[in-house]
Amino acid sequence: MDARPCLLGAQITGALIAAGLIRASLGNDAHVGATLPSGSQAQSFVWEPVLTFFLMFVIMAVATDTRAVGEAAAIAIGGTSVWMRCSVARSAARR
Amino acid sequence: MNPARSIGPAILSGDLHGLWLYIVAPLIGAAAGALAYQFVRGEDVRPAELHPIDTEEAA
Repeated sequence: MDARPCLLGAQITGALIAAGLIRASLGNDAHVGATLPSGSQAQSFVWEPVLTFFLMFVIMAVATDTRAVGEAAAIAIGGTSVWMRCSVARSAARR
Repeated sequence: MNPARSIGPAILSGDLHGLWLYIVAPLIGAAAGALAYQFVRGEDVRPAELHPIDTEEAA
């Protein structure tokens, strides 16, 4: 069975429930945590693929390559996500 | 980086003006990243294999 539609549905369902919880408890404040460009849309359109490139590159390396240590995948992927948030997101906020 | 994480709050807040960016851009980046790694690895592109959990062994 192709699990991809289920994975897609689960991700979006989870995000809707989480955003609904925030809106129900805190109200429609700060766009319920929506991702919005902090600069221009063009800037975001440049950086968003770059960040996703690195994230996907690491996921392919640790989660799909049979030579990789599978147990380290979570740390590597999580670490990549944290690193990108610290570098690009912070320098965007500093402006 | 995760379109689902952008879709949820965008729909619930009713602010959809920046959403297209957070759906299209990650698709471009992820495809490029996956292709780049396959190039480095030196194998043909193929989808990741998903293994169902063996319930008998887990129980």
